[in-house]
Order: sequence, then structure tokens, then C-alpha cells
Amino acid sequence: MKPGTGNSLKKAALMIIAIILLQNPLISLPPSSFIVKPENFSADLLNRKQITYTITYKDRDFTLPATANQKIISVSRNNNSTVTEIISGEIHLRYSGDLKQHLTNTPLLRTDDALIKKKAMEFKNLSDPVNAVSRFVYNHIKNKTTGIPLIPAPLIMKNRTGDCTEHAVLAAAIYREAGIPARGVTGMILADEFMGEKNIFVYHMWLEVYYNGRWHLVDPTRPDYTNYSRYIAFAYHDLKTEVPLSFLNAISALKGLKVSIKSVK
Amino acid sequence: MKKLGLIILTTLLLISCKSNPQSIPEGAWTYDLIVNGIKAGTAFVIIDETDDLYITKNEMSLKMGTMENTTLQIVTETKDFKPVKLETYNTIKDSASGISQKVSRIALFEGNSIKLASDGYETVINMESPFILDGNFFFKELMKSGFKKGTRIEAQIYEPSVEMDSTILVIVDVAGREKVKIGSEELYLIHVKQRVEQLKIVDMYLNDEGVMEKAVIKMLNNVFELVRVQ
Repeated sequence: MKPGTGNSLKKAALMIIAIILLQNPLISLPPSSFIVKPENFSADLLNRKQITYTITYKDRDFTLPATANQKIISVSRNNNSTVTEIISGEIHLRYSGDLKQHLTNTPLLRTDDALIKKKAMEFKNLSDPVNAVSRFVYNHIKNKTTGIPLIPAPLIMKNRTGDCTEHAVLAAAIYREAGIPARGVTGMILADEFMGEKNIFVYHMWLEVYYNGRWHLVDPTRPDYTNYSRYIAFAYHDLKTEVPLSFLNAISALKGLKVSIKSVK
Repeated sequence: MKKLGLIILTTLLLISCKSNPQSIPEGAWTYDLIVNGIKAGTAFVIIDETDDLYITKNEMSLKMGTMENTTLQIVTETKDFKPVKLETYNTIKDSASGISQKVSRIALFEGNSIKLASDGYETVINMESPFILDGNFFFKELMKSGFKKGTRIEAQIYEPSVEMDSTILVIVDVAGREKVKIGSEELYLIHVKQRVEQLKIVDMYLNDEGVMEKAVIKMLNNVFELVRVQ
């Protein structure tokens, strides 16, 4: 046996795809590992209902998704980059697809677990279960900390520790078990202050929940927050695996990312 | 001028003497994980071989503040690359709260059928087409080609951290030899690119024995590197 010979080629590849991505660096590393300072920012832009952003990145094939709060206005490509103009704000997304896939159990959500089932029952007959679940999750996760990879919802329920990903996974599990379609979204949020920096975009995960015939943005880390113009979505996350292809596609494509604020409403 | 000629000749001789990996060996390797230029973790790779199987263990530890995540993955495949078992064990420890969490996922393979179990969640998935694990298949195929520049190997992989109920296309391209600076040393290494579907994911740099000296992955505005610890 001779250490340091050929097989490390494949194993190294395995490590990166299956281990680094499994640990999901963008999720398990602190959000400070991904921050973007917006260009053209001014204080009067805060708390606006809609903001138009110009987003530039070095990939010619990738397109940002239209979501419950995000409308794609234009996409232009040159040799080196893609420039996308979006409106972010209260744009609730109509949907004609099959909602069943957004109610299913997954290894991450574990909606069949007794703890999740019991908790979901409490919300089934409420007049506003969407807000109630979001508020419950926010209050239940006492230890707000970063650095945890995506873990199953029952573990989050027990340990009451986590950041945006744990809030999103636990809330999605309860929503789905309560019969409310929910899906994950990854992207970034314009934070007032983060790690000493003011008005910067930070990596983030939230949910879309389906009610009244449309998808609505729900952020269980900010249950009372309604400023949806501060969210920019990169990709949907199917909540089945740590790094679904849609998510991998986005984080691989969005290199050299720049965000400029174009106008507000 | 004579001196310059000698340098060029010596360089050419050195380049022409470069050999390529010849066999799938067993061994153990250690790497530093560097995120945006700062060491963030460590990775270990151990490869064992029995009469019938390759068994590969990869472990990575990532420490951020009070949180420490350790992921161990064990790939078991036959010598002709048929999937046998894929195990993943994740341990998360928070030194501040004292909380320790363990998550596991085990996939057992029988032909195109996969029995997937994850902490009480169980499902059986039947794939329509054959697939392999991310094991030794690519290395064997690259060896056959002599790591020739322009070689492309493609295969359908089962990797449940990416897709649970479908396979993913993994493509490996040999980009040729390049000078790469690692620490204060400049090495002449084989550049191999690995993609998932059409996404460029990893740039790997291998020495003459096929040992990966460095790997680079770029995601969003971050650069993740694995650098071999000598």
C-alpha cells in the first residue's frame, strides 16, 4: 500500500461533490462568507414596496427564477456576463402546476415524524395558519446560530437551534403536514446591518407558501417582516436533498455577482 | 543565449519525462479546506481494497465559531464498479450549547433498485437505467486514455445529496498539463475538470502519480480550495 498515488483523483472529486457540497458550505458557513454590497444604495430606498435591481454575473446560460416576490423584466447577455433586471416586492405568483409535490414527505422534512405530526395538528384549524406557523418556528428556535448543515426537521424541533435554513426546513415540514403547500427558496436578503456592515445583501433561505390561489413569500426568521422588496431569489430548493440540481446550478453560475439598485416604487 | 537554450531544453526534457498514473492504488491522504484564503477545515481520504470490492472513506471536518460539522462518507463498489452501498454520517457539535446531533443516510443497491434509509425515513427507488457511484470508475477510464488532453469521460452517477430519485450526469475532462503555484512551489500538474450536468464545478490538479495536489471550486463569490497536506 503506497499513500499518495492515483486513486486520489477520483476520491478528490468525490470529496468535493459529495462532501463539500454535502456540508453545503454556503449553508453551513456563516452568512458572512457570502455578502454583496449593493451599488446606488441610499437610505430612502428602505421600506419601499418594490425595488428594481440590475444583477450582473459571469455566466451566459443561467437565468434567475420568477418567484412570489420576483419578476424578471429583462435578460441581456454579452461575451462575459449576463445582466438581469428584476422587480422585487409584492408580486404574488399565480400557479397552475401540481401542488401535490409541495405537500410530500422528504428525508429532510420528515412529515411522518410524531413530533411534526403533533405540531402540525395544532395549526390545522386556525384562521391564519400561515402566520401562526411562521411565528411558532421563530419563537421555537431559541438559539439563533449559524454553521449547521441542512438537517431533518424533527432534529431541529428537538434541538431548537439554527439559522435561516433550520427555520425554513422546520416551517416547511409543519406547513406540508398541515396540508399547506410549501417550497424552499434560496437567495439573498438586503439586511440593515450584518457583521458590522450596513445595508448589505446576505445569503438567505426562505419559503413560499400557497394560499388564496397564489404563492406568497414567508420568512420564518422574520415573521412580522413584510418588506419583500429586499429579497432576491437565486433558485428554488426542493427540500429533498442538501444540494438539489436547481440550487447547485444557481450557486455555480452566480460568480462575480453584482447588484445595483435601479429604481424604487 | 546558450544558457537560455539549456533552460528550455531542460524544461522540455522534464516535461517529456512526466508519467501518468498507472494503477488504482490503496492509500490515505489529508487535505486542508480553504475558504476565501482562510483555512476552514480538514479532509481525509482512505481507500481500502478487498478481493471483490473498493471501499473508500472520505471525511471532512468544518469548524466555524462554536459549530463543528464532520461528514463521513463510505462508498462500497465492486471491482467492476457496480454500486453496493453508500453511507453518509454527519455529526454536528456545538461547543457553546453542548448539543451534538447525528444524521445518517444509507443507500443499499441491488441492480437498479435502491433502498434508501435516513434516520427512520425509508424509501425504495427504482432507476430505469444503470448507474455508478462516484467511486473509481472515472479514474480507471482516465488511466485507459493515459490522461490525454481532451479526454472526456461521462457517466450517470447516483448521489443522494444532490438528487434522491434520479441519477445525475457527471463529466470529467482532461485539460492537459499546467504550471500551478501551490504555496511557494510551482508544480507542473495535470488539470482535470469535473462537471455535474453542464455545470463547471471543480478544477483539479494532479501530480504524476495521480495524486490531487489542489482542487478549486467557485460558488457565488466564494472560492473553496482543497490543498494537499504533505
